[in-house]
Amino acid sequence: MIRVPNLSLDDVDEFISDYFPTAGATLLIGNVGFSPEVLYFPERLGPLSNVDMRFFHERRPAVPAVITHLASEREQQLRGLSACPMQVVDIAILAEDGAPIGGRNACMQVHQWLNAKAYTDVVVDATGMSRCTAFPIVKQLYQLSRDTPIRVHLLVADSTQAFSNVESVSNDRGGWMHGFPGETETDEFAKALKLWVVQLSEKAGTSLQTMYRELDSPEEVCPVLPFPAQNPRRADELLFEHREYWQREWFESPLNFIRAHETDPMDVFHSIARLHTTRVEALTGSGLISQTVLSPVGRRLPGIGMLLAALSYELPIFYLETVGYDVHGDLVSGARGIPTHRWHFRVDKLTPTHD
Amino acid sequence: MIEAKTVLGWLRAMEDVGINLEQVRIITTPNAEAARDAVNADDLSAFRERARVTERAIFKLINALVAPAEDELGGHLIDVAYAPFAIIEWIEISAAWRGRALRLKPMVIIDDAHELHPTQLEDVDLWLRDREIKIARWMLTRIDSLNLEDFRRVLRDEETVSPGTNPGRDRVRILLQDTENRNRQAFRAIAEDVARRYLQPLAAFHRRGSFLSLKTILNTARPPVLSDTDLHILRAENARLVEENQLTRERVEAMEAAYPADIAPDVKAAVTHIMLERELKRTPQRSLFGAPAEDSSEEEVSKVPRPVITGAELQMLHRFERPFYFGFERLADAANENIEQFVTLASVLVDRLETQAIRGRPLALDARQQHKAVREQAGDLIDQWDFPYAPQVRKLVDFIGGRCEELTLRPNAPLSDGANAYGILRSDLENLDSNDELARVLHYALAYQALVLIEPYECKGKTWALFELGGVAIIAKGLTHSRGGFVEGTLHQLKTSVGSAA
Repeated sequence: MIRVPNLSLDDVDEFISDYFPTAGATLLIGNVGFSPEVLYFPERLGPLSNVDMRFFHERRPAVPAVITHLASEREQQLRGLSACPMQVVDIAILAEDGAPIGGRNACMQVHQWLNAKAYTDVVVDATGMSRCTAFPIVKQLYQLSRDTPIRVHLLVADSTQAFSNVESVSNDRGGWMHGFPGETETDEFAKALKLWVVQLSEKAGTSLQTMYRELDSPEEVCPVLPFPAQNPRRADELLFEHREYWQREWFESPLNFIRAHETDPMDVFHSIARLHTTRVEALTGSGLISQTVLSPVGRRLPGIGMLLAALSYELPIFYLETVGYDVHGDLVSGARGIPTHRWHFRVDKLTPTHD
Repeated sequence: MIEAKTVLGWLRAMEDVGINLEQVRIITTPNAEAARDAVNADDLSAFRERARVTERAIFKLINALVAPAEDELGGHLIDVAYAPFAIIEWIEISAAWRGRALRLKPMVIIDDAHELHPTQLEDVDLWLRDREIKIARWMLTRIDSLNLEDFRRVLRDEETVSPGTNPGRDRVRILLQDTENRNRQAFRAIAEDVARRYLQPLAAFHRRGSFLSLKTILNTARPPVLSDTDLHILRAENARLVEENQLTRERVEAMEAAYPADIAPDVKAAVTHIMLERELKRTPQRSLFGAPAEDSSEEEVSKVPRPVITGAELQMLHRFERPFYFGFERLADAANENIEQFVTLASVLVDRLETQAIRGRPLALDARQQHKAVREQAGDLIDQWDFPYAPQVRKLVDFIGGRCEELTLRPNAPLSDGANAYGILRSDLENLDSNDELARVLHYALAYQALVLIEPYECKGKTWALFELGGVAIIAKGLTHSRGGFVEGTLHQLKTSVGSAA
């Protein structure tokens, strides 16, 4: 089993106040997101003199003005927290023809920041960051940590009171997450059996169907259901919402569902790791190759579990880019308090395994 | 990359049918020895390995987390230089496979080429038009996936002329969807065939044994009738209108005699309603005490055209919920000549029939059941639209649908069966900047057939661009499927309807 040193809840805050004041030069990479949790970790790390805060500002074409406005407000608030000069860089998520380039742009920018100064620690605060920017840079830093003594920390804060009336609008074509390409694209793996592990989420029907088609009808589908969950019926409701797909289109049998904790990335990580290693073991010697493809959809925390699995086992990630947001009604900011979920991972200490 | 993947695809395809690569020979153009060696055309396993090396090198390059610096690229490019298309002419398979030697022309099909960046697409297009390439080449593009500007250019059949090409001669364009000449009869026939293939494999229907035709099932539904209460309301209104118009009974009967013979009493009443409202608009106001109008029975009563009947039915749909969307033909017409759309709409009806079959009930769906199922499905489909700018496209469809509904419901039915499109002057459309948000919204609206662009459309001495609602939107809004009726508007109003991101 792969080990990932991790901390949750108050342990995270304790660790931050113990460790970082005496650490070496630290780079904090975050995103100017619109949710209030985006301020949580910068509040604790910004005032430290050894921490350089660098932020992305993800730019998408079809974002309602009210969200852009909120993001600008956040930017101002973040500037107020920083002891050292802060930088905010615009990251275009889509090219003019709609192709997703966020991951590439983010990695390019991180590369520049790392070249500008020698850091002993890098912190990725994925709280307000989209998957398409967070995942590639975490992989980039993970790869870096294999060759250099740099320490890589991944922080995530999340609250259950997230903006429920904001829906993301997805792109209509899927693609491999930058840095997590599907080897099935190449000739040697053309005949590999695809095992598709996909997170089920509300109102994601069209996206799921697009991905299924573009993956060329994977041989096996393992939807990930959130259980235990705050709403105990959520898994059932998701099954009902998407019944057309798993009962008919995907020819699914109920035994292939994975149930993983709604807000515990480690549970998701271990479930996928178990599934993948068992599959690989089962097929050894049969002459068949298998590829486990991950698709994080919907809430953030399970996606982090998928990221950890992808890093540990070199798994590809297939997804649809978020191209905009749809706000129903007024944007209610939500009360600020301590985020319900806080996680810390030492990505550089992820012990890799070879299949 | 295209060349490497194509070559590997050919080899996999041959192995899949049991051909041993040792039985294969690559025939290249004469005087291509050096190029032949570069791709290892003499030894098939080396040929494959060379292609794989290229594929892997490019794959690694494009998937590097941080792209290598330009001065480092040189090292990678050695493996990437690969040009089999320039020399391959035939693929020969020895007689050891099927008894006689085969000489095959290799082909490459590039599907969904519109997913390339426009510059890439142009480059690929230019490259493949080279007459020196001997293999067969096909490129498939969804023109409605191009941005609005390019799409309109393609519709006008304008070709960009580039040096070294001969438009019209080095490329054959085949349109798989004819947006200009709508042949509804032709599509209805195709739809019938598709419906048959759709029903056949369904296990529930097998036990029925007999030949199943969706068309027959849907068309045997009896036409709906208004409830007596509603019919009474309609007739009372008509009576009032007759009085206002000061018409005689004979006049009304003569008018009604001009209707097609097969229409039902409730439709008749609704048509009369329209005709009387038209009459009212035509004649000047009469005094309450004036002499009754002269009996102009000599006036030729012209036949009432079918669109007016349709218009009456639509008005009854909106006023009294009288079912309208039933029958096979209306279903086929709603598909915008797109088989996938037809199947999506038909699927709800097939689902209900399947349930009936499983329960051992007779297979039948009356007009109301068909109408309700299809309308709900249309509404659901629109709610589920999930593509870039979908929320704005929904607003646009709501706006256009609302204006069309207004026009369709006017008591005198000025456009007979009403409107289903929004028309702006072509000159107005020219003012749309391609970077404007509306241009992008329209791009996706057209790509997903929320709207259909009909341009140029000549009407009333002017040239219009019509944005017709797609079949699914038409059903959701309760409008006619026939082309031609449109609401006049401006580009500015369209922009406002979509709203700036707010």
